[in-house]
Amino acid sequence: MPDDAIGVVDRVQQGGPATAAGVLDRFRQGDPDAFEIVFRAHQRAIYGWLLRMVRNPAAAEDLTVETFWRIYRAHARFDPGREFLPWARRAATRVALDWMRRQKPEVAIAAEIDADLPAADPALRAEIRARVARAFARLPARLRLATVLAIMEEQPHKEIAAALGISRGAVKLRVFRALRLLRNDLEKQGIRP
Amino acid sequence: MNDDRIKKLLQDALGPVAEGEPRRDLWAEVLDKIARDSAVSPASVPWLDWALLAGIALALLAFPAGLPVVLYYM
Repeated sequence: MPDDAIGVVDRVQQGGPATAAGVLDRFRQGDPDAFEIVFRAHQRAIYGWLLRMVRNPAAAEDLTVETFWRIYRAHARFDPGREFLPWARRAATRVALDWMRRQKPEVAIAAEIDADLPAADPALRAEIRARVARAFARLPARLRLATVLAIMEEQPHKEIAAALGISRGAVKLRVFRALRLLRNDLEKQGIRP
Repeated sequence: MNDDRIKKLLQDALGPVAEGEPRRDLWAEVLDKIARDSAVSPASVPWLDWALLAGIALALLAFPAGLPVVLYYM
C-alpha cells in the first residue's frame, strides 16, 4: 500500500468526512484500491466485533476474511450516505451467526452440582464452568449471539439491535429467552443455586 | 435460580476475550478469496446456461444442417 494511502486509512478510521466519503464512494463503484483502504481502516474493528461474538481468535480471523469478501461482493448495495462500520458490523454479525449455526454443541454429562458451594474446589468450579459453557452452546445461535453481546460484552441494546437487524425489544426478548432456556438446562443437569 | 445468578455463571464460564488484532495478514486472504470467487468454474455457471447448452447440442445432433444457422447467430 502506498505511503499516502496509509494517511487516508487513518482519516477514514477517524471518520474524516470528505476523504472518507470519497473513498466509500469509490468503494461502492468497485474500486479495488478504495476497498483496500476501507479494509485497512476497519479490519481491526470487524475482527474485534467477531471475536466478541465467536470468542475464538482463529475463527474470528477466518470470519473477518469471509466478512470482507461478502462486503466486497455487496459493494454496489452500500449507501455512501450512511456510515460504513454499522453496515459492516451487520455483515459480520450474519457471518458469525452462520458460523455459530454450524458449530455442534457437545453432549452434556449429568450429576448433581451445587453451584453455590464455596469456591475452594477448583475442579468443581471447572466442572460447573464446563457445564454452563456446554448448556450455552446448546442454545439456538440467534439467542446465543444476542446473549453474548448483551451480557458478556455489555454492548448497548441499540448497537446489538442494529447489528442483528432487529428491534431493541427483540434483543431483550432474545436475552430473556436465552436465560430461561439456560436456567432449565442447568437445572436438568443438576446445577442448582 | 435467578437471572443474575445465571448471568454470573455465564460470565464465569465464558470469561472475557482479550482485545487484539489479527495475528496474520488477512488482506492477502481476502484477495485470494475474491480471485477464487471470480474465477469461472463449472459450479459457478447457472444451471439454466447448462440446460441451454445441452438443448443446443441435442438440437444440432438431431438436425446437423442447422449448424450454419447457429454459427451465424453466434
